[in-house]
Amino acid sequence: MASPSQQAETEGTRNDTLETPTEDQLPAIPSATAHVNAKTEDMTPLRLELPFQDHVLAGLRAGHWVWLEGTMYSMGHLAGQRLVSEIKQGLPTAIPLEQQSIYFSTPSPAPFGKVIGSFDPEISAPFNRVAIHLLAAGVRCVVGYGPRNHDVIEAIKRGHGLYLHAPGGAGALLARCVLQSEIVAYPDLGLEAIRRIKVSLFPALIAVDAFGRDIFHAYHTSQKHQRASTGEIIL
Amino acid sequence: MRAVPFDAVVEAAKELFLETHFHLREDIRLALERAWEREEEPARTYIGLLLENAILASKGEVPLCRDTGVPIWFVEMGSELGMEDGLLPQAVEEGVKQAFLQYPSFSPILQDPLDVKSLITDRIPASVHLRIVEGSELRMICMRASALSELSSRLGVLEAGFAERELVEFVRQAVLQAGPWCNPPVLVGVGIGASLDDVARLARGGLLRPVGKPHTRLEYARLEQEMLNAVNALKMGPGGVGGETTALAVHIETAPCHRAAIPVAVCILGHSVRVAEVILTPDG
Repeated sequence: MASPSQQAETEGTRNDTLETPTEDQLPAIPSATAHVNAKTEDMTPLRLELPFQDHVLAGLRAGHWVWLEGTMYSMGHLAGQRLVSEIKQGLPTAIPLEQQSIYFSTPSPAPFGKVIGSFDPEISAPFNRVAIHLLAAGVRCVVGYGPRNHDVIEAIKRGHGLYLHAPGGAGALLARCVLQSEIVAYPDLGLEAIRRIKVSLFPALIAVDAFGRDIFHAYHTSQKHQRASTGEIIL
Repeated sequence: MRAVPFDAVVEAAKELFLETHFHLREDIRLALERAWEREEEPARTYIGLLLENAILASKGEVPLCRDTGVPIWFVEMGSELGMEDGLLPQAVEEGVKQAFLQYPSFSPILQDPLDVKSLITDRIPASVHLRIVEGSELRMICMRASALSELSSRLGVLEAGFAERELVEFVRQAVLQAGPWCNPPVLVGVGIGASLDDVARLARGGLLRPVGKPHTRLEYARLEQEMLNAVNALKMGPGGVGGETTALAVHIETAPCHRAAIPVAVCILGHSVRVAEVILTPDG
């Protein structure tokens, strides 16, 4: 078996990474080039108005950056769970879901004079079940961080939606992209409450597009961070 | 014996804690800039956003990252020094408490790890690595450990007669298992040797060394490079979106250990590397 460093030397171009399954038991190595050929395709980020119209989806491919403009709802774990329990019981939901976009994040406390505190995304995997319910209830776009499981991707495909990967750890930058923020539901949850946010030039990478193409396809076998979806765990 | 005033330590701890909210370590910023130059889209934009984030956060208004993490304190105390009016961990804890009053932040700490209701939000019990060194200076370093970094790290004990290749594989596996969730590009600290309890501290200590400064011993510097190549060959890239830069650097720290059991720890820190340092002298 070649050592990892030898492999590094033999791998010439980026496209070769797709043909280098090192060990069978490991998830294959991901490559954004699986979906996008940077050399031939225009990679200029598009502005995406939220909530979006159906016709824009044709031009949005996994691996492209978009700048989000418009209104989203942000929520933490507890708010997501409460919203799902409302949906399951058939109650009217605390926020409108049809055609909306959901950002999974809990901000840090807002400093004096600021709209919102540090606001980078939370890991999406613990929100998988929440996302499936929300997508089934009419949500079109979910924004978070990291790979999602097969069920969510199917739900996105079914609903012609999008999953966007926001830059993790870029809290100050994403906070600046939020023009307005207002708590619209579950104020008792504090920072985790549902907020309606108005964003401008909010950067996000299309991780799963409406056709189910997924830049993280190599990671689905991993069950990491799935456990958090069952308990009230805050990361 | 010369004394360091309690209040001076409190003040220093407060300043360090506040500084690590906002400032990305300079060597990391430079390493990200270099990575930006060699990456292609979409990784290039990803790194560009991280650099922009660092500039915005350094204004001191909004923290770098939502998870401001748990502060880990490395303290080197000169043997000629003593503390007045209290103990060092108390002073550090008090400093953090005062920092919370000055700048509202949120670090969800569980008083009881098994009780999710026992959240404390107004203070952080001090985690201090204290070392007594020669001299009359007090050197304090504050490093933030976020939840994702902790979740990504791993520890193991190798049996005697392991091959160097296994060490490289151990590190590569740690990053691979952590996946995009460890917030790449990461900084990797590797502790080799010591004992089970000390090896994790060694690994964490490796993260204090600036990027671009290899190990002083040539064979370890070579091993660091080999590990870095192995990790970057994963092509996970920034944020897991694919690319050449999965890790910015791998830093090895070693210590003597039993020849039959060699502990190895891998401490993975996401790109938000927040470390601040201050040196106190008894004269102020």
